[in-house]
Amino acid sequence: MSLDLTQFHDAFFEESFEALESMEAALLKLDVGAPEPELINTIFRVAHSIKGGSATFGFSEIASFTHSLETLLDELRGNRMAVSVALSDLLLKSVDAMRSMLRAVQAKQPIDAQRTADLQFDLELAIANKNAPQAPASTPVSTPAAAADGAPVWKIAFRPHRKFFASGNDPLRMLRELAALGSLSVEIDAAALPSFAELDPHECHLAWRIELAGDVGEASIREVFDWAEGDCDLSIEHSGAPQAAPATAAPVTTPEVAAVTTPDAAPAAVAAAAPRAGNDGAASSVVGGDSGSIRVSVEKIDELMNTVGELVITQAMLSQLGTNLEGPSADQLRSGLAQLERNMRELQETVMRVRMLPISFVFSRFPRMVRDLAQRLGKQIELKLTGEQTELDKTVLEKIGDPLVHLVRNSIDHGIEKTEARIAAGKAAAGVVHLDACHRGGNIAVEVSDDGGGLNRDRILAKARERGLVDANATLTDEQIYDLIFLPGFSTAEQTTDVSGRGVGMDVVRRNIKELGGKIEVRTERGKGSRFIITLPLTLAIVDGQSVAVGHETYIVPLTSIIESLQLKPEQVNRLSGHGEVFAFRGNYLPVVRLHQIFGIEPRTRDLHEGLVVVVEGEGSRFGLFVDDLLGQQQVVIKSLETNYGHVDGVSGATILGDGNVALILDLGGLTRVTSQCVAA
Amino acid sequence: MGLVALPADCMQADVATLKERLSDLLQSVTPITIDAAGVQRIDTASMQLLAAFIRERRSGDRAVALAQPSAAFADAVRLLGLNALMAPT
Repeated sequence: MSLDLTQFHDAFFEESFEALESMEAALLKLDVGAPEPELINTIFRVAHSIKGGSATFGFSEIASFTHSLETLLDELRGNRMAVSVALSDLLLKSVDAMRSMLRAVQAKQPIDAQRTADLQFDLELAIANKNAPQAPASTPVSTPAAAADGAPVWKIAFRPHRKFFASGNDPLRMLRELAALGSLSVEIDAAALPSFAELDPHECHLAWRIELAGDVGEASIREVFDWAEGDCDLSIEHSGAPQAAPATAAPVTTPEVAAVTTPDAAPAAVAAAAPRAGNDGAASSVVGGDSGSIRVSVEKIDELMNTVGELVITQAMLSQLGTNLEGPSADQLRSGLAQLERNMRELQETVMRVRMLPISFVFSRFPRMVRDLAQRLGKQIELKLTGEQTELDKTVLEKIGDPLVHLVRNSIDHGIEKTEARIAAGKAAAGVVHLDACHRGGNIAVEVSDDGGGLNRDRILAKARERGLVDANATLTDEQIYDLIFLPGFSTAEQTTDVSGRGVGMDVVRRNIKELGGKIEVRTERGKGSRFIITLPLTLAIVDGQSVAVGHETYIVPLTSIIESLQLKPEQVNRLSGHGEVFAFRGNYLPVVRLHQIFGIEPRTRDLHEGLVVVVEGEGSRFGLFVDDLLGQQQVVIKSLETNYGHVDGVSGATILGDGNVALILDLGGLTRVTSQCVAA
Repeated sequence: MGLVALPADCMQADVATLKERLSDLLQSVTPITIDAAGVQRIDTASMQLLAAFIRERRSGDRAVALAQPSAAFADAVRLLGLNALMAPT
């Protein structure tokens, strides 16, 4: 029977990426000199399962690389090698390499073979150069092992299939892992071993009968053979008491265990009484962290979200109908509808929460990045992470990563001063970069702050003048000056480094955040540090909108983009050649964009002072949208126009209103582009 | 007397090469010494090959000895339960 393994690829990649993250986190926690065994075990397990998985799926390069990595980790685990800074760097690099290999394989791209080979060579070199003690005493077990007095004994029959080696498995490694669990007694069965001439050295012809004594649960034993499943015949049995007389002293004997030393008479009772729950639980709890969750594809959740969106619309339609009804049962119907509305809102919130992930998914990459950057720049940085459990929509989460990376880099590169400068300024030698997330109203606030030098007001102003970004004699408030750093092509770093400072920074950050419907502000105090505050919507599936009427049509303007709505007096409006109509607003002249003109509809009025102007901001520029009337504010469920129809400039999506009509959601950035084309034409 | 020094890495990738080297010595009438002092890494495939070699030499009454096993080698022998087979006669 041939099994199509490709169906499991996605799960493998997803799990591997997650596992690599936990491996990275464990590596960063690893103390040089006195590493915690459990951390090393965690790291080892990740390498082990990725190796097994990639061998199973035929990703031979990854399997080979992780094999070397695993060997090295095994040395660490057996205390035959010490953790040094260089080694932990090497291991971190290996995480990167595995990640990029997995990404390449996932994208069906070639693997960077040179990089992998170089790193693999370094790994092997590290193994070869370990200062291995000569005495075999360092091996984890002595075989034949003695069964601990009274400790449970497991009988394992292990017969690998001939093709066992081909899947990247090695019985020796498994035996070594078993040896780490307790005391081991191994008997080899070489009866099937052919003559030397007939032996295909790539096939396995050996089998083993193993006795393992110690406080071990069956799950821990099975875990050793996890990746060999299907490639071997395996039976694991619990036998009541040790059979062989102890030859050497056994390492563990606990009083509770002693009770188990009953003769073979009642093996079932023994199995039940064996105090393995504790150890077993401890062993398996680190494996999966499986707290009753299931993996669901994003598609399914989006489908659910979509259906809920439809329900919301239907419910709104019913409510509207209900208000116009009269008769004896109308009241009853209305109270039922109100109940429905409450339930709908709950359902909607629950479904939205399904899409939410803690921001720690993004934050988790920073310890590593900060460590590397600090090393490269020769600065001492302490990274503080708070509010990691704050949840936000998966889509928002995926898109916030890059802007945050940029801000943190900037903080370390430009914000935090060099150690000498810090000490001279009377600050602690290590600079602090703080990442914080919290819910604020209906939004998420993410803050990147540092205790560095702060923004240099005068230098920013000078640079902006030099670049012609501000008028030479314009007077600006501090806020306006600090805001200049978000302009395209602005960078004050005296020396651009490869870390940051190529001048493509902050404007892109702001644009990305704007695209998510959020905003970024900066607060700074000279000599004390800066704070970048990002405010993001909880979700991208629903938007708070202001509905506006133009003729018979209704449009939705995202509430976050609206600055003010006003009625213009005729004297406020001027005509500028080449710029169309403009009006004065807070000291600036803003263009008027007539929505009816852009969308070609017949408005109720063409007189500016008879309708309303909504002042909005899109992609950094402000303008006034001329509409007939404001209707009301409401949350709308965004439906993609691209999926259902096609792209339309100036429109970001559509929604269905309570009365069943479709309203377009305006994309203000797009509108600016459309308008400038109109004006140019 | 024939001497085979095992490489530092006795892994599956090179097991075919090792088999070729050993085949030449299988029928040799002079005693063979397998020098395992330099072995740093060894896997089951290589151990299986050595086991087959030693078993066959001995069944034909042709002498074979293991010399100076490194810690890694000795470790593998013990874990795989090959003590009896590999022990000097």
